[in-house]
Amino acid sequence: MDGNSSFGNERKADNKKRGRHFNVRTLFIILMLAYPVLHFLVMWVFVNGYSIALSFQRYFSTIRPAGYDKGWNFVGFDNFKNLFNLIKSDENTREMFANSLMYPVISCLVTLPLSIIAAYFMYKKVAGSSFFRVVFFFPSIVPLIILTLIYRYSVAPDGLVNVLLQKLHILEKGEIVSFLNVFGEDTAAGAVYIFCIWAGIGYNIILLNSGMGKIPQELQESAMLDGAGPMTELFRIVIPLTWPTITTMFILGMMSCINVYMQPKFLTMDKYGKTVAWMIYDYAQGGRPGDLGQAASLGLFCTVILAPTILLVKHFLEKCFADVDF
Amino acid sequence: MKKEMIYRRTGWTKALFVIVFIIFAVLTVTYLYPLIWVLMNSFKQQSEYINNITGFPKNPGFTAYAEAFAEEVSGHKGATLMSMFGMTIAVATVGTIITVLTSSQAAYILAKFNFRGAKFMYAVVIFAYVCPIVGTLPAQMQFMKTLGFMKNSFAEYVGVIFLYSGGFGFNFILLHAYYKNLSKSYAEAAYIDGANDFQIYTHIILPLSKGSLVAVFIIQFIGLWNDYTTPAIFLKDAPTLAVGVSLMTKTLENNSNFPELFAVMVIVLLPIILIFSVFSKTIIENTTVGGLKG
Repeated sequence: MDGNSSFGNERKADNKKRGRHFNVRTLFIILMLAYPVLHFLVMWVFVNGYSIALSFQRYFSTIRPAGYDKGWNFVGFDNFKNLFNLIKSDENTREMFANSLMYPVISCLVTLPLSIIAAYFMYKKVAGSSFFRVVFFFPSIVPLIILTLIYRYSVAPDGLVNVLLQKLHILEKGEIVSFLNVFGEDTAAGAVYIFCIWAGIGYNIILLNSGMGKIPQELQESAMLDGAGPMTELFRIVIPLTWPTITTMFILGMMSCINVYMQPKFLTMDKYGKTVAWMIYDYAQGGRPGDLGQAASLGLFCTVILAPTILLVKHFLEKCFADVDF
Repeated sequence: MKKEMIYRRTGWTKALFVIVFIIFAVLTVTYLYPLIWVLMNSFKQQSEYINNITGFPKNPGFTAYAEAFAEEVSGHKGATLMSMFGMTIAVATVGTIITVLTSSQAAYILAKFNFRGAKFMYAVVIFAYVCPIVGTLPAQMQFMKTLGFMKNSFAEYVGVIFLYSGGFGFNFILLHAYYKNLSKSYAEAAYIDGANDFQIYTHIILPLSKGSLVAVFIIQFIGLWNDYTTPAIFLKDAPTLAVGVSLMTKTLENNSNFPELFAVMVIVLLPIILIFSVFSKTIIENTTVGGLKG
């Protein structure tokens, strides 16, 4: 990663040629970047700006309060006032935020640490590790709708797991493994989290394992010679040297609080565990223009809290270990 | 000698590895056994499944498969598994080709050319990746509607491809890292021989990075094949597999036709498993993230 590997500072003795080359190069850069930059400006800059604008607007049909036009109206902070009132008085809204906040906790503090330990053993070539690598990748290539169906039918009260355990006389007849039950009002949340860990751990292990694969062999050998045990090696060598990967995965895990919705939606068949992303998806899917302003303001509210948090955490995590290049 | 030294394990370290092996094996069973179970049940009759949930089928047959291929998605006339396959292939193939190409262009330029603003652009892209703004779906929808991308099925298709065609997503980050480490000597040699930047990109850089591009292509293809949110909202007329199957599930569950549902799952999974078994090495080797310093 040094500046020399760029083409930008070549010198050409021939001045005439240099001029021509400059023009062709500029044209090249412009043409190559035109579409990606345009797409980014439209789909990121413009749409985000539009979303912010929408959160201060409301759509009225023919039935509307006095003083408003049919169509889109600027309503100031009304959508936000509405949202805060809901947070204050509506238990479902509070539950929605609480549900959403559980996903980063699960993925950053449960799945990620477990995956680091598992990936370490895979890196140390536990028996069958190349086979496990392929199998563990499997859940992440299956469409989520199919994966949730497989899980749901496996853990249903009359599904694979319960019937099998009853047949093996580990469970009494009629007894079920209740903490896996996605249909019970009290157990649904926990069952969805278990699904997330089960479905997510494999992919995490592969990502971390490929990060660990880049650690130079000599470091491993010298650690061995110095008599370092697995714990020392894991915490003193492997984790510090894969820290950039871990940081990225931690940040992606934090984002799960604003993008998880399919897991609870598909697993509980639209019944339990509403999240922010689910709410916004429903607003958009319903296609009723009256809802869009409220949805946009919900999104903006979350962004205002989440974006600085993520940047702060990223900054803090990047400071944890000195940068290494190898 | 070196190898032996690294892999020699003694005492409790050995026990630890055995325990981890057992945990991995159990996890493997939880991933694979349900699949075998689904496959087994797809060969049963509707009446048999209810009494024989875990066992082998007594009179295996393809009734469930015949029904699955004939099944129409409720509310979408003519949307069968085969037509949804067609739609999914059309969306995933074209979407992947365009986004891999635009990502490759953007990544190559930002990795290899020092022009004013290049560093700033990279920082903005990383920022946008790390800090997505929440809840822009409604704005996106309103915007696509205004542009006429939700008028008819063809406009919807073009709209979804447009949404997928960005060049600054995760593919960009992967390819940027690749081009950054690519030696510039090939390009320089061609430059001295009189090739211009366009020729260098199409005749040297693209063929050189074929391995990475193929890997990114496959990973992106599977991602688009499985995508739910975008087609669910922007492709109302012709459902893709992910959307269609979730609609089909509701009907089949209401009719308690579980073997047919399992047959649907098997049919949808087969091509993915096929692609994965051919490319698993490429996919796994290229599943990697590094740090995201802007």
